[in-house]
Amino acid sequence: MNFFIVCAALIGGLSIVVVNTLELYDGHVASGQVFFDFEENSSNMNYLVFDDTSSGIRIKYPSNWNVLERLGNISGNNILVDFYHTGINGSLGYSENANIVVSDSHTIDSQSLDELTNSTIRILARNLNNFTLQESLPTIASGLPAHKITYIVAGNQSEIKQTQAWTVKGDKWIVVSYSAEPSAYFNPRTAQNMLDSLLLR
Amino acid sequence: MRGSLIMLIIFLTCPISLFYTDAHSQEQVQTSPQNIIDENLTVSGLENTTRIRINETETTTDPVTIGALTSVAMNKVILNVTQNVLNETARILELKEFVLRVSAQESDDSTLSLNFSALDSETSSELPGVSIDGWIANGSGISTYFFSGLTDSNGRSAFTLHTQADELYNTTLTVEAFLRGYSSQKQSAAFTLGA
Repeated sequence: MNFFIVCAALIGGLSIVVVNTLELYDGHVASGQVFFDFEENSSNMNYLVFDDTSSGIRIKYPSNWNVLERLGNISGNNILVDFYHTGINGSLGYSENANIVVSDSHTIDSQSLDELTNSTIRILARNLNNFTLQESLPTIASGLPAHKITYIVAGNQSEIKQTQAWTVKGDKWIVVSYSAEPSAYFNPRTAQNMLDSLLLR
Repeated sequence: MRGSLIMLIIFLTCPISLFYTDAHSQEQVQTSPQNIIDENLTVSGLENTTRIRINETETTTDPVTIGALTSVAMNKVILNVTQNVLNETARILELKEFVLRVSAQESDDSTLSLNFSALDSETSSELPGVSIDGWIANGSGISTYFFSGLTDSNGRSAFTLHTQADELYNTTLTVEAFLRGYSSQKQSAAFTLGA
């Protein structure tokens, strides 16, 4: 008898948890500044924090990477920082790098994120050699609606695999790009960890 | 490396012409590390062309494209530098052999002259700059004389030791020699002088 009471209580409790979870999911609005900070033990790598007070951008990057800041401004697109890693595997070299570009000169009010995404992918395909889109999906960056794409392009001697995610905050368009060459060294966890750590203040 | 990267990146990103070199040029870009500087010169030369392209299509300067092309350019720079390091490492590891010859000459029972010559074992060319460290140990293993120096432009090095003849009886001369890019040499030979 007691066994059935315990089972009924467990099933009831589980039902409440499921219903509440669904309600939370339905009610999720990606408009707040939710900062998802991954735990240090979620990856084998340690991460350092890059915090730029002037732009209000904070992001984490692998501790064994180097940092180049303020790389230049191209037509209103500020290449805020590039994180890079020089890898040597046996007698071969590989490269990983990630950068953040902030644009403050584009008129983006009239474009929805979807329109922006479609036109952006077309432009990328036109400007990169042998552009092959592997993934394109909506995501969340710093609690804001964002879009992420993953693709392969032809490099000088091997394929390059890149992931880019972008979002719009106010009148700024923020783009995070992660790249690896050759593509075999593409680490999706590194890319996702960095994107998850992005905080726009 | 950081300094060279900074210079390269500033050079590359400002005109963003490297992007368009990668994106549009059908020419094979030079990949050997020593050509990094040459690439910069190429970048400067393409600047005007690039600006025209930017003006033609304003949308190509969106931040996503800039981010993508920056990543491509950074990979290229990083791999060039990395390849440079790898090549340098490989060059160092390709160790060659050299031959070190020594002749010992005693005079007046008080002076010992040691004359060294270093030659490449394959080409027999004289090797300057060979670092030589040596010492003489007596029969008990106690080192009594020390000398060190570099071979001259003729691959030669001479040392004069002021000795006493009876001290050189049944002694051992040990010499270590080093030259970058060559296997190190350590040789020893027992000799008796003044007998």
